[in-house]
Amino acid sequence: MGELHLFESGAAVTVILGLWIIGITRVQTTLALYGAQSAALGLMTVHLGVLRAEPLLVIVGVAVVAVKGLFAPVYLLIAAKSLGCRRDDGVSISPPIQFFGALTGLALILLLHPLRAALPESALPSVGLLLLGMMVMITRRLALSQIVGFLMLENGIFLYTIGQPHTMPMVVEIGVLMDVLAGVMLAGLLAFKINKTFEHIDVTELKELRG
Amino acid sequence: MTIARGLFENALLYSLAICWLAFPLSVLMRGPKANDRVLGGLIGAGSVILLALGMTALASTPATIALPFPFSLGDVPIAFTLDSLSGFFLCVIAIIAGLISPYLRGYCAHLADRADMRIFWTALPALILSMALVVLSANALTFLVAWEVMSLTSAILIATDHEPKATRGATLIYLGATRIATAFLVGGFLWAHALTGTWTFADWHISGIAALGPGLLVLVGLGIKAGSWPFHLWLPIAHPAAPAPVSALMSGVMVKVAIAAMVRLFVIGPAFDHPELGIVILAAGAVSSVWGVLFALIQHDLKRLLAYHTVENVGLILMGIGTCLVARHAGLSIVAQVALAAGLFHVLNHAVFKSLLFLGAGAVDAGAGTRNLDLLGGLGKRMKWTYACFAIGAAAICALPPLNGFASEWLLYQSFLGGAVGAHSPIQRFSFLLLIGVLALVGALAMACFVKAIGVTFLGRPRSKAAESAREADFGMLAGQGALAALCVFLGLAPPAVLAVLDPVTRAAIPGAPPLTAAWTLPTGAMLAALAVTAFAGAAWTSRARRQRPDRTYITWECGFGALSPRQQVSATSFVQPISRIFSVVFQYAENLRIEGESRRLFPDRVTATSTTEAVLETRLYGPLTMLFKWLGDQVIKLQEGNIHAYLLTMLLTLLILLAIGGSIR
Repeated sequence: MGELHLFESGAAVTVILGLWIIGITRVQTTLALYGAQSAALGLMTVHLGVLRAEPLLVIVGVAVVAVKGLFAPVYLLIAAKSLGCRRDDGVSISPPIQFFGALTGLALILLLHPLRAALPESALPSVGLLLLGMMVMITRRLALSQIVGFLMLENGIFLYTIGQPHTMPMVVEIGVLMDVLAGVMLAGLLAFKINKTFEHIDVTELKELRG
Repeated sequence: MTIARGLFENALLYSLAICWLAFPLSVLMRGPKANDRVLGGLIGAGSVILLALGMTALASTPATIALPFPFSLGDVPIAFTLDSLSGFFLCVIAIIAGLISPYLRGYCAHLADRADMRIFWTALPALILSMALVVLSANALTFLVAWEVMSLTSAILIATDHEPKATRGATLIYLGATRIATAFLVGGFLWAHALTGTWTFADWHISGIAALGPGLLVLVGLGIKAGSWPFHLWLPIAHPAAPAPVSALMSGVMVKVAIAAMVRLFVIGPAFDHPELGIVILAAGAVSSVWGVLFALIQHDLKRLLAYHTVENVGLILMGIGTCLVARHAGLSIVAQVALAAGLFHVLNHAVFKSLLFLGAGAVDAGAGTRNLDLLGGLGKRMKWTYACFAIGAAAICALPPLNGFASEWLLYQSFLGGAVGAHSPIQRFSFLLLIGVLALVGALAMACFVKAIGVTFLGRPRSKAAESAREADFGMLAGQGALAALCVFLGLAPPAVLAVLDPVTRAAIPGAPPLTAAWTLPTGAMLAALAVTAFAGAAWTSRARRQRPDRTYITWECGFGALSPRQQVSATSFVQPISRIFSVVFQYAENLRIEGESRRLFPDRVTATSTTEAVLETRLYGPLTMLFKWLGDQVIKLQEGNIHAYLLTMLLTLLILLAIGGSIR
């Protein structure tokens, strides 16, 4: 499998998984899908590293699978269980309809390519993933789902960096990964804090503390 | 060059070390007294280093020092210029900071129970160092970083005594002014960068109509900081709120840092060269000098009065710089040289006497517990030394010979006269003649103002209990004031020495000018001798007169008013009432006399007289502007619903719009 082909298929898998997350209401499934998406990204990175004969890229890929594919979803699953949240019905628009909205949006971006001047064709999937992540953040009710949205957004950025012919230095990649790790742990803790203070983690109800 | 470089690096290192030391020391050390002594000493030591650096820069050939790679802002190195201009301003900073350092301990003792001095002691060295770095910076980015540190640390220092609501308001207004100043500066610098493709000041040579846009933006930015009309409104608000040594530093030095940048960008180089720029600077200077002194006259707060005088003196300095630019364009190189020297000399002089006056006002504040002129009076007997120092400072600011204010204003008069004689166009001749009139008017009004300030504060009888029980300042505070007063006298007697120092600066601005020392034509020695003889004769005569006619005690004739009380003395308002009436248009001055009672004409029950004045610029221009921005802010705040999803959506839309814009530009 050629490098370009590998990248295209990997990007397609991640974007499709992202779209799937948009249409899902069960928290458990969302987290599992996120894990799958990250694992797909990580495996693709490993494969790319083998193709380009860059051992560092392989290490990064393995680390991505470990941290984002396994640790983050499992940790958040445990958090979700003990917080007792099962479903996230979304804000104002129900997720299945959002799914179709996102699908149309992505199709429009692909067809019209409005950012043609600013971005190369190969960056489109990552932009799509980024927008999907933001959409999850904007349309979900639970703080936990918003963490997932943020992580998807981060996946979009990662997809962009490995799509470039010269990937970022190892230090940066590992650094970002460490940030994600710390971020997930902190966000999980914060979700507990929010639950303790408000007795729920519904973001739409977090208005009482405004100045 | 190498000596200068080595010294520079060491000086930078030591001063940074002092800055970093100040914080842990101020936190660690117990007891404000010990704390203040050590930290005041540290600041003194730091200013000695700065002074050494400044003197080396004055003596050696100009050099640019760029720090090695990791110390850079993007791909622009952090770079400094060591030349005569930065050397001169470094000396000004160092002298004032050094002479303020003995004053600090006594003053801080009076603040200690109200404010957290740790913050004060942390911000003060940072302010001094950042001012030095602004003066030294060789490119726009280094300049902006140092400028921001300077603005923020000075705002922190203003807020030292933040319990009163007025102080908090003043801090916010000052912060707002600095933000706007920085915005203008950034705009001007970006524009200049777009025109030249470099950030280095020395490589900016924009002339013709292209210089007008960025030049005016930079000028406004610097003008706000310098306190030039019409951007002076933060000065009279921030200075009364700040602790006295901070006011002294800000008014004496920080305002001058903007002048230093102005000289570097508009005179030496010049980065922005257009005939209109000189005229703008000159006009702004003329208006601010008159405006500043007029509004100083009607103030009741000693420090606010001094703040308005800063506006006046900055106006004088700007007049010098503006005259230099105008004369240079008209081909009058000697006039330009003298005008620039007058401006820079006045920078030093104003730094010295204004810090002295602010320290004096601080001593009055600490000793009598108030700065309100309506509550002071008779302090001359209780605070003899402060009175003496304040009087010397006041005489200097009124430009009385042989003090330093006279020396620089004399040079300014000379440049105006030279311009009036030498200028080719009749309009320019007439304008220079007019400026002589302006300068004379300003001098006379300043004199009136300080007669009022001294008369009401130090002479007569106390107007309140607080003034009655005023205590003299401690030795350290007096030492600081005394040293500054001595410097006033010294600089007044040694103008040729100062002009010799300024010679390389003016030579850089006006190539091929004759030696500057030739500009000083007054025989200082003879003047001094004549003055000494007059003073001696006067003293001898009064003492003889006193011996011949001893004091007699008798009952004052009270004209049927009953016992005379301190309230019947000439007050701050009544002293300036005639002047207020003359300039009633500027002040929006109105008098209101109310007489009540049955037979009002002969036996009134009650007579009340009130006079009102209005700060026109603030109420007519800035008031409506502020209201407009407040209204706009109220509209924007409607977006702040507290809804997280709305925030996220706004961010997403912003991102998309920016991407679209970026895509369409590319």
